[in-house]
Amino acid sequence: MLAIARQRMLGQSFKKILPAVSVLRSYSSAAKQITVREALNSALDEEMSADPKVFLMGEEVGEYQGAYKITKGLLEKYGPERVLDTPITEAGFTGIGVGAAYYGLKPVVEFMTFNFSMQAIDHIINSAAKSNYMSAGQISVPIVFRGPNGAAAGVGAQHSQCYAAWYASCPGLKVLSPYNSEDARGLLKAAIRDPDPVVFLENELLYGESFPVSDEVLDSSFCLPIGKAKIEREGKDVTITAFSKMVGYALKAAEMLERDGIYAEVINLRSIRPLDRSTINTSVRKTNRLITVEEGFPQHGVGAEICASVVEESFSYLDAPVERIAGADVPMPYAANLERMAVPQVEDIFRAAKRACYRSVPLAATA
Amino acid sequence: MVLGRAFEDKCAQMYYYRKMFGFVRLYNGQEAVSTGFIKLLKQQDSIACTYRDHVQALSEGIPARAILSELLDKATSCCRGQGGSMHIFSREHNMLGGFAFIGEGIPIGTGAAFTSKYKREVLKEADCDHVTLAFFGDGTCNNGQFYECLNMAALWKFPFVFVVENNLWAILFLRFIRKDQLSGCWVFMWMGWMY
Repeated sequence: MLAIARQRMLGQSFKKILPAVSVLRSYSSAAKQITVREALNSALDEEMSADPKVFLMGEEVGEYQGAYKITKGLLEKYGPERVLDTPITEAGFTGIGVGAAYYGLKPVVEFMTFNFSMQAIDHIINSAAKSNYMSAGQISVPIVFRGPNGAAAGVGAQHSQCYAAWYASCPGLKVLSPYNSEDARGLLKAAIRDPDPVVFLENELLYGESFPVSDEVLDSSFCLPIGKAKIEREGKDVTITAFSKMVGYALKAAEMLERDGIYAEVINLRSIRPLDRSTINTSVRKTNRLITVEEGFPQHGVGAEICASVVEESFSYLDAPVERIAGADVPMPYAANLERMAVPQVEDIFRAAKRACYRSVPLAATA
Repeated sequence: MVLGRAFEDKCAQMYYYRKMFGFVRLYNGQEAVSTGFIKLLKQQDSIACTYRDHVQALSEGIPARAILSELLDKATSCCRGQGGSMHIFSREHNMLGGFAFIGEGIPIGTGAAFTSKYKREVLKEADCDHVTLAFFGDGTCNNGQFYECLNMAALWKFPFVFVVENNLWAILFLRFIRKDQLSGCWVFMWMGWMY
């Protein structure tokens, strides 16, 4: 009987040693595949393990294992003092997170979606982003605000807005938006280690998607630099910039374009603020044409800023007007067919690229 | 207290001489409240308040010269002229500001109290017994964040004191319009005071 008790105790202690979600998938020599969800979970787990000042707070992050299971297993591993299930009070708990960050703790505040961050946006902008400046550098706010951003599937107008442009316009914030598992792991680790407030915009539809990752990515010290974009696909005819889910669409459009003899260069922005103007402009100087892609509303969007940047720095290199592909200028409709029309599709990017290369196919009716 | 009154009177004078401009909120008549509370604090305790923050800053020990310089846009001030009247911060004196939106300082102060509890229980700094005070007015008791933080401070047992300074004014409204809510506030204030 004692042996059974000892075995049970050993079993429980083993559970504590193992990572919350196993990241090592297979033993073959092929590249490992992990989902974005696993990437985020492992990044949180490793950063919490490395630094006792890191803690999580948000609705359903603990006992429910996370509204989207991103924080699965972390409550069991780190306890309720470090994984806090909050009441439904975004303004209150975001302010509490910011106040804790003033004192050197490193909160990771989860918003169930960034639409709910509007309830707390005063604390994100006024208390977090501006404090370092207002206090003349005395107070730094090492906080991360993370959660899904942008359109999901059939969740309606109040749950589908993209907040990249709003947050990226604010000095004092850093805004990151990962696409694949490597981005998710590297950028979240960088965000947690960063001494400034970081808005980390994930995408609900990408959580379950698997991407291959190298051993370097799986290492616990892996980190990506903030402010650096990645060229996902090299090309010479047209530059396509995108972030988050739209990177996948841009890559598919690039494959379609290749069949037509157009070689598109796809840039995964990764960092919306600071924007990697240098990579974008270098690419445009090579290809001479630019399409920007985003899911959010077109007016005052991320594409508008990129367009302005390219006009300011590389105007004489442009052979065609810069085109912005964005979501429709309308609150997100609910019906599936309308939702499809309100968000950029692969065909929209494909047609825009052809227009930029002056090889467009005439449409039956113009917009 | 006397320093606080003299300081605020000087600010009023400077404002009328147009040496100071923008938003300046004075604390005349309320000096006893913050001075009394802050006198009982230790160096490591912290405070958060609203835009009416000059005298709290003085009571915390920030030199009057540093604060007045801030109001007069000097680079040698406590925040290099970047904060202004409403945003007096001092890391050294644990003054967390200085917030423009009423109610905004309460969650920040609650976060500081959370940190005190976290340091004691998670980081195992057994001698950490820092307390945080939030100063705000009766008008702020209408604000949702006040109630949200009362709930969470009681739920998680933070070392936090909510100080309601009932000066009978809510921005520009006289108290009588909100009289009914005030008695409820005092009851809540006792419930929120857990440490």
